[in-house]
Amino acid sequence: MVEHTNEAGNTALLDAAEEAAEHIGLGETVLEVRDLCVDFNTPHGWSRVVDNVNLTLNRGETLGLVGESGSGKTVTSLAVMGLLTGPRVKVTGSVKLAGQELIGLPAREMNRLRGRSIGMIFQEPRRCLNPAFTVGDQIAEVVRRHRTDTTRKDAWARAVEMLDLVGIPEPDKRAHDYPHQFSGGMCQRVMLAMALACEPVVLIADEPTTALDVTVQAQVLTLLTELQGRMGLGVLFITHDLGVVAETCDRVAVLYGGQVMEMTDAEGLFYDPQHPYTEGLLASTPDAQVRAERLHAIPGTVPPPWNWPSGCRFNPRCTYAQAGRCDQGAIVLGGPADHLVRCVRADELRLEGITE
Amino acid sequence: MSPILEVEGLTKSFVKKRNIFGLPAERTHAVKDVSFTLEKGRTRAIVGESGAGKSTVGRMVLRLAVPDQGSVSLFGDNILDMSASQARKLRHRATMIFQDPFNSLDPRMLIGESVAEPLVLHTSLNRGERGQKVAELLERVGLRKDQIEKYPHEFSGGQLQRIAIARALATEPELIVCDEPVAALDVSIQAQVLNLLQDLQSERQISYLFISHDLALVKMFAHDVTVMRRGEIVESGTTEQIFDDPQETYTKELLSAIPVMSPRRRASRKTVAAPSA
Repeated sequence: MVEHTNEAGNTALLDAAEEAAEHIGLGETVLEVRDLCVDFNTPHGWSRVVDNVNLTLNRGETLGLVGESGSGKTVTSLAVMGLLTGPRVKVTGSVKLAGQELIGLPAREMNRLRGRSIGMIFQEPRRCLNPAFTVGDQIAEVVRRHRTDTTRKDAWARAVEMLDLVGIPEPDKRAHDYPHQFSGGMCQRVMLAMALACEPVVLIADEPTTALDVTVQAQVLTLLTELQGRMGLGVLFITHDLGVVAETCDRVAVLYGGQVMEMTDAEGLFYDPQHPYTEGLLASTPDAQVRAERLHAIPGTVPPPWNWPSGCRFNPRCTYAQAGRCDQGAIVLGGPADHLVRCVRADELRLEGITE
Repeated sequence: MSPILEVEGLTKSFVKKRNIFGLPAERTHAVKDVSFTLEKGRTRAIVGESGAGKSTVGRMVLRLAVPDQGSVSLFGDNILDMSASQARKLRHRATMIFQDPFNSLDPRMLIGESVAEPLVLHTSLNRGERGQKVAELLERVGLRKDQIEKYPHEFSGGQLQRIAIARALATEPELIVCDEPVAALDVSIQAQVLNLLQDLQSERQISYLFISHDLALVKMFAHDVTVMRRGEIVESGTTEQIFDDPQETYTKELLSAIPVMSPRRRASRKTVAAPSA
């Protein structure tokens, strides 16, 4: 599937991509998020939905953002993209893309960067495509928007080239088709083509395979990993599915209640989790490799942002919580830099990860 | 032990195109020659990709959709030979839970009323008895009594799905068709709902026809598995047979596409290329 690519065309394209991002070496930081806070004006007053999130994303690396619904994954990514505007939302902190500060950037400037240096794909690809235009037109539009000197003909050629790159058979014919003529997996490939058309350095993927069948999910993930390797992309991968994280991510940040609960590399997270929430998530995910009789359930539900408990936000649902220690004061994200954890009992707890 | 559900040669097609007289010109086969059985107290999973015909099978089992051919024998009677009213009477012994709890409960009914509705239709309990039964049911699925007088929008997805289960349980059914019951829920909540379904099965010997696309979950939950593709059965067997020793290429493809929960095994994994959709 992925092998199907027009070699000559793609090499030229990828050369250009590499050239564009050449000033940032592989493994260097492309996206740096410092003390990011997002507050929403809700009927319950101002609520902090994302609370002091710190992330670094390097070139060629996939950073996973994991958590349940309501943990602040998507809001974090929207804040990074500068898509949270208006009187009912406040975004503070710092987001640096290749050294350039994005918070407080005028809308015009942000529009120039978005889609050019930083691309995004979403959960439901079909909803993100305009049903009234052909996919070729939509990809070409992105190219012409960001490279104003491109002719219509060149932009179209570029669209076809991108469709080929993401593994759509007969791209020159399919570019004339409308979104409804593509299946869900193919629509996600089109979205990917559109997001990568201007050779961004960072790609934000928000639950890109959640709506797809397992076989199609596997294809899209393989494609994403392959393109990432070839273009040296930094990918911020948002998902609730730990299986997908295990397949794709180099490092992982676990979010709960708008805070980072644990951040480490994928191996550390799966084999040696330090936070009870991570342990709970791992135990509640069914694993086809292991024959379990019963799944572990985390009791309770995620509370709404205007109703966070004091102390550790996970403490009412945590089986290890101790009164007097876990339910008061601010719990800080601590531990060694390569394995951060926000838990006062992290040193004394022996938590179970995945066994091989 | 004779099975409580026996499905034989089930076929259903939908009209794809009509000619100028409005008569069917082209048909697509949603389900083609599907047969399986389900015994008391067991779970049979129907797995497959979207468009495989899983949900249509589930609906035909309860006669929510009428098959073109084949027979469905529920508790020993062929439900396709019955009159509509006779078939409706069986609905208290065989019920259904749907994927999306937000859309399967009436937003303008209190949840107590929603759960009591099957009791009004299928039993002769009076108002007081119904109220007591509803309280019992909601307690069984882990909700508090004071939540009876609330509307669906006041609950989270996991709670709503548990309310939907309480409603399905109201008439003490012997068979529940579960159409992707946890697909819309978070993993931690998913486990709560599945464990509840498992407990109910061991308490009351309920049989489940469990429709799902999530193979990892099916492996844990089901006793028997039927794999479907494009309306036809690819392979059928016990969970051990299907997962440990799949015979068909398509089953192997499906199994190899399940994400492996282990970063170290990522590199060693071989992907069987699935045909493009």
